[in-house]
Amino acid sequence: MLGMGEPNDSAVSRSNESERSVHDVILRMLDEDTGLDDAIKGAVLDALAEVIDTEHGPVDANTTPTFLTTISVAGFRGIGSQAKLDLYPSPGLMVVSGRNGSGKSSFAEALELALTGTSFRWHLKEKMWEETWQNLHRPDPCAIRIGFTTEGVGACTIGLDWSPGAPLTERSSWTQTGMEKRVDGIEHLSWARPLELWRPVLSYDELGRLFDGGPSALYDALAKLLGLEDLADAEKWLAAQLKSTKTIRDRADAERKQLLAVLAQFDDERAERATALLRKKGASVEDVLALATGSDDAASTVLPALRAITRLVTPTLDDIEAAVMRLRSAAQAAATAAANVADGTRQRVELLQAALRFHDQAGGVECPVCGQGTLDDEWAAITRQTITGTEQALSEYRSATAELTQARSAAMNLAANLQTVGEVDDVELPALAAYCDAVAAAQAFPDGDAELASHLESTLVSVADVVGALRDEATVALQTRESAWAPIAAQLGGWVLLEQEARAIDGDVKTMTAAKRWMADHAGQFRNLRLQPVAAQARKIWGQLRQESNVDLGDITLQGSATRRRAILGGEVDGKPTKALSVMSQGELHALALALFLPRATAVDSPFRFVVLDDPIQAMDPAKIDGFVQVLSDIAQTHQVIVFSHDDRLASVIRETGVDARLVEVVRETGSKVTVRDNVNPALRQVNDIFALIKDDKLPDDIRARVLPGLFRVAVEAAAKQSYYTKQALLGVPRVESEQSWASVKKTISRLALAVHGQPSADLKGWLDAKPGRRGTLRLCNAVHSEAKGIDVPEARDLERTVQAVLALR
Amino acid sequence: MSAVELLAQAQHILATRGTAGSASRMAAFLARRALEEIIEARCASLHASAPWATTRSKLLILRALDTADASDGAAIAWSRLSNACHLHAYEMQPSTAEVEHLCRVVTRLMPA
Repeated sequence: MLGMGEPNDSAVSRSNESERSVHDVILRMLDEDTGLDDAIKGAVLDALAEVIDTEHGPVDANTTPTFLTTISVAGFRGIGSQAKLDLYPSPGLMVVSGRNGSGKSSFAEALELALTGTSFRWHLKEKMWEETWQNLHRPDPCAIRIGFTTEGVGACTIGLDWSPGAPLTERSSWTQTGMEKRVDGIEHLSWARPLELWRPVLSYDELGRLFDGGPSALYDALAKLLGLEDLADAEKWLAAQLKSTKTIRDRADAERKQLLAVLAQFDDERAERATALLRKKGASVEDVLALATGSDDAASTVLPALRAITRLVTPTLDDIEAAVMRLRSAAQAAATAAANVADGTRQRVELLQAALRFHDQAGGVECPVCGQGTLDDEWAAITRQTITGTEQALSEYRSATAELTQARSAAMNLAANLQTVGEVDDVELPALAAYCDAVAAAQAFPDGDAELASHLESTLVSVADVVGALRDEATVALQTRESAWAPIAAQLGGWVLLEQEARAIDGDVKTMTAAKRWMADHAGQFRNLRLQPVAAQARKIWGQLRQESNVDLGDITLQGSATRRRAILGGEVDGKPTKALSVMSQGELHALALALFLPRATAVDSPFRFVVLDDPIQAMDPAKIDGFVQVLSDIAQTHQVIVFSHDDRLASVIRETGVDARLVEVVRETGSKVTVRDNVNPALRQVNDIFALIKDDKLPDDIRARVLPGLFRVAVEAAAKQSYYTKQALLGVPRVESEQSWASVKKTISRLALAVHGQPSADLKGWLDAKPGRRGTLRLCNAVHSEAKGIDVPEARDLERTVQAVLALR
Repeated sequence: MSAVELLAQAQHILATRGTAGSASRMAAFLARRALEEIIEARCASLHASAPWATTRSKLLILRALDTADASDGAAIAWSRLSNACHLHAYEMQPSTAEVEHLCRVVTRLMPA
């Protein structure tokens, strides 16, 4: 109707494509990425499942279309006694104008407070607001009522109440659907998420600050608008998961590092071996464990050596005494035996035996040796006796000699069997040298049995003396080592457990890292894919708003992530590329903020079919206001647009250009008495036009008669349409159905019947007769040429009253 | 001057801008004259010629008898051109882009 852009079909379908859930798009991307490892895919899916199912799936968000019917306020901000702003719960533009301080913003703030529990205005200025939120003149009663209609449900009210003197935060809030019981709080409406995503209330302050936060704040705001938080949450979840998984690996590594530091100060070959093992990535933890528990001592030398020393055995004093005594007595016995058996005895015995054998053969003969004696029987008997005695002495001698030999070797063995002990690395054993010396001394045998006995007696005793000290030293050294090692062994054991745990999840860490990288890579593409339609819409709105601005809005892109995230607005100034933001004036920034955020507030999925703008045009020049009205009219095709403005320029554009819009004026009188007046209503404007035509006396009567019936009809039907849609919305009838019913009847009387009784065929008789002038008005709506002649002010007054009566239907 | 001539003049002024910065307002004035001619011509073609009636009345005649596009376009263009022709306390003069746009709207309204 205004020659403004029709809703762009291709843009709509594209935006539907872009409304596909993050989940679906990621799934598709995963499918397309054929080279991707299954484990990584699994991790990405886990992340998505985690963030989407838990917090804000589309399931628990209420998206039933909702319009506003009333905002009623008492004792709040600039409004004293109760003031009510009636709204038509259907698509259309409504401007609420009023001077500064007229109380109009109080309506917007009341709505914002009821919906979100806060207001952008006092978000950062809480202190100030605590004192000024209540009306100064009439703080009691203090209450807010917001009326809604929801398709399929009907009328619904949100109420906020304060007891007298209660602070802002101590309020009771409730909701009431139709005539049902009030329910505490507004949570069960499930609007929390939609409010965050598609906030339907935008204030001047909020728009102005959009760019103050810098590119990262803008990024967040845009990401929110694109519904990309799921994506960011999934990325965050992966990062957190990776971090917590990695903590185990990190702990194992930190423990390894600490162990290495401790081991470096530890002077022990086990420490060296442990160090070597720990330095090697992927070293066998079993080896480390064996080292810790001591089950691999074979591999080391010091400990066994020390243990051998502690087990060192030397002859006891008794042993020594016995051996020496034996040696001594054997030596003495041998000496005695030797004395008994004089030298040459054996030869003499052998000679005598030979002589006896000779005698036995030759009989009594002269001695062949000396030749003087006779070897007779007497001699033989004597000789035999002698030989026997002598042989006895000889055998004694032999056994004494054998005993001596044994005793000597036994005694010498005592010394020879002494264990020698070598130096032990890194262990100081002062007694070791003495022991070695004593052993060496003991083993240096002198000649002679008596000397040997005395030698062994003294040296072995000193060995026995010194070995006790050596054993003690070794035992102490061993204990020291063990007690110093024990905690390290425990630590090693602990590390082994950690390391085993960490190794078990090393694969996970790798997968998670890859999944995180995959997300980051694809999220970037995805974000900008999603942004495209919104950016296009923003550019379109900017195109309407910019008017004289020489700044051309180009690509809007989201770049980076985490702390380096930022939104980039490209642009051209007189054809030269530049960053758009830096070259824009305050008014242009404002228009740009609107261009970016009207798409958010009017997103297809939003349950809020209303957009409330509080003072949006403060910094705009008139050309932009024209563009702004066009933008709003576009949105008003599908949404209930409510604009609060203290600036009469917006109102005047609407008044003068015949935009199909309602204009109400808020006036505040002394004592905070706020009244709302219907200033321009599409139906009432028709009535005004009719008065103007009647008053124009230069207009020929026949032309007036041709024109007026049509204008009467438009006025009555405009009023009927507003009332019908309002009533239907309050009953919860979906907008589409109301539109179909409306379009299916063409006659004025049927449309009036729809408005009055909800049925096109209903009987209007009673209603038409209730007030004089109604029938006349209806007749003139359908009058043909001649019947319409002579219409004058009284007929126009009847029309005005009838239209007002229709508008008052609810 | 006929509507066509008036519009040609307006567009010439807008194109040359040799009028010390008041081109848009002068062009708006000419375009409004052209629009008024066109409105009258349209009324006449609907056998509802009322040369002495107010333009508001004539626009309402168009609303009742002419197409919605024509009546809306004429109403908007006339309201905005009128605005551009008067000096308003707090408003700057209309932008040339805006007046160019309005001239195009008026041109489209010329009876075939």
